[in-house]
Amino acid sequence: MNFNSLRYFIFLPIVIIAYYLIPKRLKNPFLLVASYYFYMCWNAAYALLMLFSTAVTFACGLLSERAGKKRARTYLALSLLLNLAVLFFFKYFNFASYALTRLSFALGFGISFPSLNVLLPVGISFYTFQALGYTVDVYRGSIPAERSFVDYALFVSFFPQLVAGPIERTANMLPQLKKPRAFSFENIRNGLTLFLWGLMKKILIADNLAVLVSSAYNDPYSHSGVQLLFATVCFAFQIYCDFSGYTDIARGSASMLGISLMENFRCPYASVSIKDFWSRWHISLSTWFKDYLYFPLGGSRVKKARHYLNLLIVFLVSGLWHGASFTFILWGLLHGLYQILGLVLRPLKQKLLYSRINENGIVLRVIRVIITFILVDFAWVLFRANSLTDALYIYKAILAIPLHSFSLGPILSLGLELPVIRVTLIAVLVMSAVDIVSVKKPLLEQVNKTVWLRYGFYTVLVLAVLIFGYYGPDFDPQAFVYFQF
Amino acid sequence: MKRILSTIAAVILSLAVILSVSYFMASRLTPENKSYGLKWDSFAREEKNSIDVLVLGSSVAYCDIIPAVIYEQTGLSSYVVSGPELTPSIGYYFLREALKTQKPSAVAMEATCVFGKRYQNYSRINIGYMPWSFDRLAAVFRAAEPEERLGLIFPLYNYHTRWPDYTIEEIFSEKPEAEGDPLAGYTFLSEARPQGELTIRERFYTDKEVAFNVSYLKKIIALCEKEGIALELFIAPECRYVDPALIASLSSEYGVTTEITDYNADFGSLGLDLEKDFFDFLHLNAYGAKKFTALFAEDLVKKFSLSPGPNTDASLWERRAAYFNELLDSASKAAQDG
Repeated sequence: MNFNSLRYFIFLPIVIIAYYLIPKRLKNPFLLVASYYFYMCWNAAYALLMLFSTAVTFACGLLSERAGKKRARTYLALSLLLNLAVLFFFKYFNFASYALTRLSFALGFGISFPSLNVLLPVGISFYTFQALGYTVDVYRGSIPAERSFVDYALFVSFFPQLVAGPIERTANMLPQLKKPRAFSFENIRNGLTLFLWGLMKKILIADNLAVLVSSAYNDPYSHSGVQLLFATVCFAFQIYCDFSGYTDIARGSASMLGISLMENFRCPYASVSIKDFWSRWHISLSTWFKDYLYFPLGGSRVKKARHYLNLLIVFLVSGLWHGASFTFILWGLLHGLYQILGLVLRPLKQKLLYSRINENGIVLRVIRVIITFILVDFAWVLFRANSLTDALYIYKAILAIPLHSFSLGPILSLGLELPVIRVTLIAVLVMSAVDIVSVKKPLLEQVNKTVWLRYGFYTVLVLAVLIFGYYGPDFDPQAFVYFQF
Repeated sequence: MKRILSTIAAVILSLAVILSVSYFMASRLTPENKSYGLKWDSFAREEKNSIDVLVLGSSVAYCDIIPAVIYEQTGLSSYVVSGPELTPSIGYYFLREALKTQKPSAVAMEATCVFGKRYQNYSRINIGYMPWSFDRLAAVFRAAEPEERLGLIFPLYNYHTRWPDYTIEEIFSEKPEAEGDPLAGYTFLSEARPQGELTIRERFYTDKEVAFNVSYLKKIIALCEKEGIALELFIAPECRYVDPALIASLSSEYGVTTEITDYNADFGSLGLDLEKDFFDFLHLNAYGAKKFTALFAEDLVKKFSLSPGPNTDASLWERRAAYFNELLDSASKAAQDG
């Protein structure tokens, strides 16, 4: 069931009420059952896959802790192999088959490799990485192996973050699952505020922008450079509001159950560099890659060439994690290249610019933010385009826009009426302002301090979603973008 | 304590504001009902307890029965309380709603709709424009398709996307008052489409669906009995007519005790012209409906010894009859000129 569905609006309060009424010792088993029910609403059979991943990593964790270093490595390898094999089968097999077929034809062998008709299990990339993170942490001795299968299974399958993160760390979440979680009005308040804010981002901003973006990106050849450029800028906000909206709903839901999930976004479009962007965007994934791939490869404590290679590897894998296609791989590699370029140019920038102008001055900061946004948005073309050919066409069309005859008229034929564009734009501005201010002073927490302010805020959010949101019987429900990963 | 009371007050006020604004916006954004059949706003303008006969049914009712002709023929006032693809289940709630403001001597139900599907995909039109009441809610949960229920309870779900079509002034301007319907629920169709031979209508519904429809037919029968209203069940003349065996099965298999008058049984005696009197294989046009209604009205009076009620506004009905005849004359003239 989608977070933005009536079913979830009924499911969540029932779970919350039941959760606080049942005895303490039954809370985790109850949440586990609720989480599996939530997952099985997507596809009942694939719950077995999740159970398999849970069982393998749980067992490997216990065995690894009891074994010596050498045997522990074997259990770690087994856990990685089995889980990544499942991930490969469901997510990458067809892509690998397609790539090998193309390669074979290019080399003149003419072999067609078979493809499979399998559905991608929802959330597999997320829960697999979460479970693998646990296995590695146990192997490293950072945390003790979990003894309770119920608690561990709940850690893997906890429904608010199951299908699209945040990818939680054992050290953050397992202790919370073990602590008593009494009812708290503060948790409900904070959770509900986050939940409604996330819902607004998803239904009012992301889903309205999706109409416009899809109109251009699903048929780029029928659209002008201006339209494609506008759609690309809108996609930056669509994906941000979609994904961060999901995270807010997830964190809000978890908060109402007394569990604090990690922050996944921190005003990413206010980043002053690509490196800064990745410390603010999908934080749980970027820190996962940092801790479990980048550092084991040596990180930055190696020679320069090796450091750059490590960056490329991490971002290549990150691209691949997002999707089994060349566009995602190239997207990841492009970000890797950005990072390398940033490092290469840093000494030059230091010498020519920062020695004369205050690096943290407002003007330079704004310029850096704009440049970073342009670079990130340029990469988003690869992320959103349906194929490499489409992406290349879109780049060509955007770069060929004649500046002397730039006009915004054509954007009105992208499927959204002008009043809807206006309202969505206002919502984007309000959301951005809240995000920017919240970096220093969390605005949403301020709203929670006064009863009347809080309920006034809820009223405005709910009415904005009900009147201006993208939903209804005649609409295709817009799944969260990151559910496809 | 003060904080708890503040919270409760804030919750109640928030919900009240959300619901009020939502329903206000829904009322503004819901499109005007331009479909054929009953307009509840217009029906509400009828003088209370001034209707002698309510005609219930689907499009067959609002195409085939002309209240103006019933009045000319018998002096009885009538109103066609029907909707497109109306099912017996929705019809039951229509009747309950109509009986809140009218106390007719008779209800005439066109029963073709009994031989149809349980859901005919017109709930949004039929139930969506009903006045807000417990009967509307009951219709939503018992007669509407499951996927339509949310939008019927919360119309903003269906119509919120229309907001760009309005200016702020239009949203807040006063809605014009509904006018009375000079045709009293009848839909004027002048086009004539020649029909071929009469055939039995193909069956597109299951026994289970008929059983469900019959359950609501029985509720209509019981309601009329309870209110002391005479009930006439009839099947209007159709070129693709309901199998007489199916009609007979209503009493033999489903236990419906009220007799059904099937006007297709002696089609020849109706005096209808297959070339000129039909709009399509199911519905009469205005010429055919005039002939049929005259006959039907006579049968109704004979069967139930009906006479005009004390609240019938003769001048209003004279005007309505004149209006209908004007429409018919204009249509004839246009057909001749065309």
